[in-house]
Amino acid sequence: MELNFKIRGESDKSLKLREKYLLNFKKKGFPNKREEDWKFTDLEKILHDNFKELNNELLDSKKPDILDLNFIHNSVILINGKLHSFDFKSEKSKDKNNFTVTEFDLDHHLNFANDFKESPMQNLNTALHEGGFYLNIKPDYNLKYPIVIYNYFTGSLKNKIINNSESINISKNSSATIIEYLIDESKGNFFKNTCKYKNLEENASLNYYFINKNESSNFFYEFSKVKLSKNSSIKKYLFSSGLKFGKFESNMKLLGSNSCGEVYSGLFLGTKNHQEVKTTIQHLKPDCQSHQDIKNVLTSGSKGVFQGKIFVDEIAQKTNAYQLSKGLLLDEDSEFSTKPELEIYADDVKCSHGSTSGNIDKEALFYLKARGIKNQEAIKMIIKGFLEGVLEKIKNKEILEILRNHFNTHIKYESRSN
Amino acid sequence: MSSKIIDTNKDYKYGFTTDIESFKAPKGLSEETIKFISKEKKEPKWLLDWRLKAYKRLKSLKEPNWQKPKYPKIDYQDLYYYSAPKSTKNKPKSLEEVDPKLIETYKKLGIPLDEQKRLSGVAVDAVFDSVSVATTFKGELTKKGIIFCSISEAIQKHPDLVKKYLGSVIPLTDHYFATLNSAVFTDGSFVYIPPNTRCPMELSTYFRINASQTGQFERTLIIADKGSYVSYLEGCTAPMRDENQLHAANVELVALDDAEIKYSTVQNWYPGDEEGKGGIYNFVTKRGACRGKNSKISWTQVETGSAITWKYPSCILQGDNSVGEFYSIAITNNYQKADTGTKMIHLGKNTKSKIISKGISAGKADNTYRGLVDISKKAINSRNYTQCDSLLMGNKCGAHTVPYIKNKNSSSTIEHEATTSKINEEQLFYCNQRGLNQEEAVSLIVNGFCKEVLQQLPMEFAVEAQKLVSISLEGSVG
Repeated sequence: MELNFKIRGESDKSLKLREKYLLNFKKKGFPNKREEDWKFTDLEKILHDNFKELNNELLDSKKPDILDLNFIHNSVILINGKLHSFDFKSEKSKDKNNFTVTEFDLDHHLNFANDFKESPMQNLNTALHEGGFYLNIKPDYNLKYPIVIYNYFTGSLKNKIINNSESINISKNSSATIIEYLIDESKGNFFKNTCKYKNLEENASLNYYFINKNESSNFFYEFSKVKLSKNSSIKKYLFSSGLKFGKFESNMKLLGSNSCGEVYSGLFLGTKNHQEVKTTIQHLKPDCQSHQDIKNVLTSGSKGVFQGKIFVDEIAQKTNAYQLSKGLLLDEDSEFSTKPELEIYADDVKCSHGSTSGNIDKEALFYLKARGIKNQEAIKMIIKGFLEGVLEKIKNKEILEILRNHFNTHIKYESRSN
Repeated sequence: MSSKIIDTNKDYKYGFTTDIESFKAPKGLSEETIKFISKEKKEPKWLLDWRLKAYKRLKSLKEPNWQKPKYPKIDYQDLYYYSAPKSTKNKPKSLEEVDPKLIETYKKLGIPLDEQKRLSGVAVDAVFDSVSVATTFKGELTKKGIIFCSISEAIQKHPDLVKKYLGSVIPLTDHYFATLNSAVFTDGSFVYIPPNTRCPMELSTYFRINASQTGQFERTLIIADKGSYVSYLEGCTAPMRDENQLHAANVELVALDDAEIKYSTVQNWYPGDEEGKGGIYNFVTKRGACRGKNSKISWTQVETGSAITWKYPSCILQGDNSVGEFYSIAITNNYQKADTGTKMIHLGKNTKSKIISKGISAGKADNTYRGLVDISKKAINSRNYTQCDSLLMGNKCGAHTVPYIKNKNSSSTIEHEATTSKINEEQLFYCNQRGLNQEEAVSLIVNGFCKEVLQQLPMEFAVEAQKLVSISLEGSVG
């Protein structure tokens, strides 16, 4: 695989800095399975098998015509990773000073990036960083309507690598619901490497959804870092079915007492899809909670991976942490690998994890078939039921509607027998 | 390195040394040392070549460093690789000829070495530093065709069996410590159970490190031929010293068609004192291969000793319908560290495995369960159940769980669960109310917590293990 990375800098200083980060990246290159964090996902091999070349040439960002979510919402539009426009007309005009959206620049990026100099992917992201946005919700404001981040990919993106970042700050006593909606209409294979930062101040709360609209034959990696202050909470939902390759890393730091981090994911993986969800939840203050529920349905030679770590610091007494990962394997070629990990230094805690994998429960299937439901339909019902479990906690009707459609589009199961 | 014996720790009753003159190989690891060991044991050439091959390989290997407990660098050139009590230089023919001082040592340890203790029905092979001292109940076992002797003796008397199976489960090219063992192993036990034979008694080995600055590298090989059964026990102690001693053993088990091996360990090496000084580094490689159909290997371990315990008794489930089991209690107190667990590699059809692991951490200790369950594509209809529970006492210790779970086919099912918590206060209150003091109550609750594993131990060991569980935690509740 040929790497044609060109450094583009805003100033001499940033050029130098970017060069330094690129050198750091080149020391190790793309991570492979010899690295513990990439044990089940050999990125070097995956990229090597799918790309002859990767380059970061400039992309056009022409906006496609249609926006297709038809409920009242605010929007931020990204075209090929760059901020195109945003629209907060749904909120009352008197409130318009309560939020800002700006382009994300390198200096801002470095404020966050300093924490993880070790990782080659973050080094690469910093070196070639272009585009993204910074969204700030000011104190004491509850967004009336959800924000949809339209993440469009369009035009010819053959052999492109996109490195951008997204940053969201929810100030004191504020709350928001954000839906990242991925629409891929591009041609040619590309690889996207994104860094995301979320900062929640005291009493802030955020519901964050990742949903992709259509199938995509592209490669997505994101590293997300979340900082939670006292009494704040984040619920993160991941519905990325249909991506050929996805690795979603989430590193949550519970830095204030009574904070709460939750991660939910329901994935249906089809032909040769490879997706990994990796979480690290660090309980660093007392009385915090975390909850994770990961469900994967695997068909047609797909591979699902879950790596989840719960860390409890010695001062984080009264922690309550739970994690569940389940894989439903529907054919012989699919694979489900998990590494649920506990690292605990405080004694007055309740921490547990469970992990299961296997085929459909024969008794459940028999029950449905005995009531006149055809095999194929029965299996579909069971798959939907399995994934629906993740939706239970979602209250917002519009979002539930989008997700039901999402599952209808992506759950495709053809049984080999009747 | 000083090797003065410390007597501050009164709790460790096996902390005595026996004043026996010992005969040692020159210090350090080299081809000469290996040749010396091989010559001393009058080994055939193929074995010397095998050792040298391992040594050559060792030079290209790096010591692993992914484990949770870190330790200061070991100076392999500052160790004795062979230490034998001088009196065994002319091998004893029967127990009467064994140095009475040695017999005395084993009596202190409470091992039924003396055949008068026939009633207890345990046949013992005792390994003192590097040399196997005596094997009891030989006659009775020979009648059944069972071979139970030291591995050195097996090399002389049953070279075909040794040659066929040695290194077949843990190859020369394995990881650092296993390869080191292959190069310099000194003694250990050898067991062969002929087809369709049920071993009439528990076989047992007792390991003891006596000499200072000595590494113990024993090698155990157990072969259960078709349709046979054997239950094997292993116990370990060492004197108290303020230096760290290395123990890197290899244990290989082979179960052929319909055979069953039950391997139980009660490991009580010296754990170091309350400040974490001294103690054994227990870096052991234990692996069993269920080669035949319907075979079964079951590991049970009670790990209470050692400064660092780092081992993963594993099962390779090659034969169809084979079964692997792993039951473990790991207790760490003061500055002890444990990183232990198992690997269950499912290769054959309809293979089953079960893992029950109980970790208890007190004082400033760190306890890690690390395990792998790998169900390959061909292992259809396989099943695994894993349960890892950890108990924390105090907020200066740590408990960690690091399982790796891979399922590569849809007809197989894996279930894994893990919990971490402290002793239930209601249970404590209940016990206190009924007149038990804090320490008794904790001991009772912990024994209950470990019950599923303790049940797996043979009678004689179960009682001892229960006591050991209580003793190990003494002083950890305030």
